[in-house]
Amino acid sequence: MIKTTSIGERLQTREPWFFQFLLATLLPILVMPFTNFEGNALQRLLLPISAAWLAFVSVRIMPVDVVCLGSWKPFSWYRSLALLCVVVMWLPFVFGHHAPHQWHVPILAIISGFYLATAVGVVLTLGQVTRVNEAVLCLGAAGYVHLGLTGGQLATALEVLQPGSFSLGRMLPGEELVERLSYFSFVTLGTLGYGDVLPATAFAESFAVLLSIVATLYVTLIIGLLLSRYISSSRAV
Amino acid sequence: MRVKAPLRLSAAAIRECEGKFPMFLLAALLPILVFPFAQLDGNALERALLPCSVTWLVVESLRSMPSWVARFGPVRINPWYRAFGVVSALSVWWPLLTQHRPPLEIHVLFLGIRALFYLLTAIRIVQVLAHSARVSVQTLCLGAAGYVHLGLTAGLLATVLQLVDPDSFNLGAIAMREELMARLSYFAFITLGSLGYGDVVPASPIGESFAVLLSLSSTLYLSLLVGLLLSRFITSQDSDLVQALEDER
Repeated sequence: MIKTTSIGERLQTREPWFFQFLLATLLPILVMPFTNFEGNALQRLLLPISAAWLAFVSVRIMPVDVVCLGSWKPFSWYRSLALLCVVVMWLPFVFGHHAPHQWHVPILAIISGFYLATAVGVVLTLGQVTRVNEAVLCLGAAGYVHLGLTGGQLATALEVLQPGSFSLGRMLPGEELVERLSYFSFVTLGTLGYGDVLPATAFAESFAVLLSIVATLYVTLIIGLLLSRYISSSRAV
Repeated sequence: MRVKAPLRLSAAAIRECEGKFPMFLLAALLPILVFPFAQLDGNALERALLPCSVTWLVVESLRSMPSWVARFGPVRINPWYRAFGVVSALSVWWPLLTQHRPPLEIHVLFLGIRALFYLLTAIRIVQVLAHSARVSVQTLCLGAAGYVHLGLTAGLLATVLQLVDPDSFNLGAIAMREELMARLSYFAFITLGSLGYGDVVPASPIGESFAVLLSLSSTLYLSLLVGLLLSRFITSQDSDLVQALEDER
């Protein structure tokens, strides 16, 4: 079967999903404080459910052929990655506690890989949209949030691989590591830099530098570009 | 006599109200100016400053926005919005009249209602901005007022969080006689401006999520909305210039 429609036209049919995608992206931040992997069923259910919803909407909006390297389409793996990510997120709920330590790093790698793939896919998608309207601006905002989520998962993987990568400040009893480091990631992303969580190794320092560069460039370049296209398209109308 | 509000927000209605927007911005800025002077145990003037400024802000937000039938699903927002406004304007006078704070639960309730009122105002501002046909200096003032409202809302919500759970924020070296709300409004604006001095930091998971959401909303508000407004302002100036040149010919 040969598809004749271009990516741009197919993206236009997916526009109604973009706002929901932004909401689904924000939900993990909202439910994280109430999540406790050792708590009751509701506390353990919140994060997996929000992750499953996010993965579902991500798969809905992501065009598989958004990037082609010759005949190889890397995003044909995206669905499997999403499924894997959802399965992995349900593991703590099934076990009733954290996953065994030796599994922790692969799990974090899968989750951060999925978020990173989504963020990259969003940026590539934004490069191929034929028109920019409010829905596409929502997609741009969701991409920004995904950068923060990816940063949080990567930082957690770093800390689990090499404990002491970050000086975590005064951690609270019952606070998850991933929660604290997601907070650090968003604080860096928003150019806030409170300084209560700091990188403590050279590797972590490079990570913080990269995160801050990505955030600045994303906001100024991608959002700026989207805005200018939105303005020129609304003027044409 | 009661004039019925039009169903939809129209560009013409917004243009009629434009003249009131700069004063609205001033009213939104006044609470920040009077915070350092507002003392619960000070003299009559010090105690009256904050209630006066909040009441003025409520009056300004009710009268300077164009009217339309706002809906949230099937619910009509306008009566609620007005009721929240009246409650928040009246409740700030409580400490002045009774010489001491209301009990904690009622205090939290009042602050929550005021936060909700400010939040609704910010949402209304965004809606008005989205529907305005042209962007003038007055419209830009409204955009700035929306930004200030985000900060005011966040300051109140942070105070509510701190009152409910005193471990939500690590307040650092809080100055003598400084009100909790002044300190947390300061935190909200430091976060909103992406300054992040780090002298007040969140200290609980909910506080952290709150700071993250606040920082996201400020980045997106500034980059998307204010960027949009500015560019539309510039293009409208360009078209005015072209019009003037054509008229000269």
